[in-house]
Amino acid sequence: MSESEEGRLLARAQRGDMLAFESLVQMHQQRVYSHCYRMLNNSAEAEDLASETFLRAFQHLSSLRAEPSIVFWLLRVANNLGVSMLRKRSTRPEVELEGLREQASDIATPEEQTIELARRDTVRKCLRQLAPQDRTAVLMFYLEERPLEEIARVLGCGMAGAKSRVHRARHKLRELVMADLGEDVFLPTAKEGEG
Amino acid sequence: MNTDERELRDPALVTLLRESYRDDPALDPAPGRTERIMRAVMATAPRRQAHPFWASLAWGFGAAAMAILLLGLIIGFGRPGEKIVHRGPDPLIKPEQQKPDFKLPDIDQVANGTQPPRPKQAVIPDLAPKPEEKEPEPWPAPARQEEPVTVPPAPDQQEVVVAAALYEAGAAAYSTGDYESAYQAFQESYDTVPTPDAALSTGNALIRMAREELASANSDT
Repeated sequence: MSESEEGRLLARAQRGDMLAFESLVQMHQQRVYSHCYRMLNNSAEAEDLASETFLRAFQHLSSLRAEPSIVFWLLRVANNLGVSMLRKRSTRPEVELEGLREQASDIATPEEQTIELARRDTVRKCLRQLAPQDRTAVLMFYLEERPLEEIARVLGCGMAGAKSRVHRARHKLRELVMADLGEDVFLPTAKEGEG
Repeated sequence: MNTDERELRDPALVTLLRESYRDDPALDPAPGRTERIMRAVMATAPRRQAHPFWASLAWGFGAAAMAILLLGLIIGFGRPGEKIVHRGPDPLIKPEQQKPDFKLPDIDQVANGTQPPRPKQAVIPDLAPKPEEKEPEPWPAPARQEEPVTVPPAPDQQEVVVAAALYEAGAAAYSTGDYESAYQAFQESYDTVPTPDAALSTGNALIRMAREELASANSDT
């Protein structure tokens, strides 16, 4: 669905058309939910967070702008709410990763399967140790391959700030993974290679 | 991809993260998630007001201004103040009900004994309304019914004598126990003078006749 289509739906939703708002939810819910899930590592909490995000969008419907897209506003709200949830959760034990043990079905042998699962577990655990904003920056840049401009919109900072945050988060993640796995799985970046 | 993004590029990390989140069922599109989100939004979202807040505020101010204006019109707001001037006796008060012109004597004059003579004591008129004695109107006399009195013609002497003789004969038969004869005699006597008035007249005639006979007897003697 094009951005102009999103603009038309937003205009209708702002006039009180709930079907248009539902179409907007349908359009962006998967991305918002994925973002929430990667932040919280819990599907139920992620869905609650996504619902809360769209509720905020409904409450601030009149102030939303379709240029460039409302998804950045949604992701930013989800990110802020997720950070708050993680802060509250810091007093509680970390939520176990869901369904991770049943994955990696395409690995041939049980030994390779175990190694692969341990590797995934380690990477996710290291990601959880990052600050929420750093984790968002790393996941958006490397996993979702979003441009820095979008990351800056979601994090609410400038391009330079987003670049700095991605660089710092990657460096920290690298240290954590190396400490856990005992191997350097990352390639040196162009900047590091030059250095 | 601009220069900054190119500097940060790390395919190994991309692969590592993709592997970490590969086949994660939680990231698959879940059916009904949109509906669940919409239900949560509709259940939690406050009902949108039909009118914005400023409209309610404007209505409130307008109503208050109208109320103040109405109150001002009622109590005469903006009218020049009137001076209360004594204009003499109130025309609505009757002369006999007006307060008598009475002045307190000067206290110095009272003390010195030089006070002027007291005015004549005002006679308080009797303000009580006098009841007017009115004779009650006589009741209307009932309409007299002028019924024609039919006086039966007085029986002549002959009939009276006959009736009396029959009556005497009936009485004699009654005293002897011949009731049938007595009945017939009474009946004939009645038939001779049939009405009560006629019987009364008969009686009166008999008395008159007896008196006349007695008077004539006395005059004879």
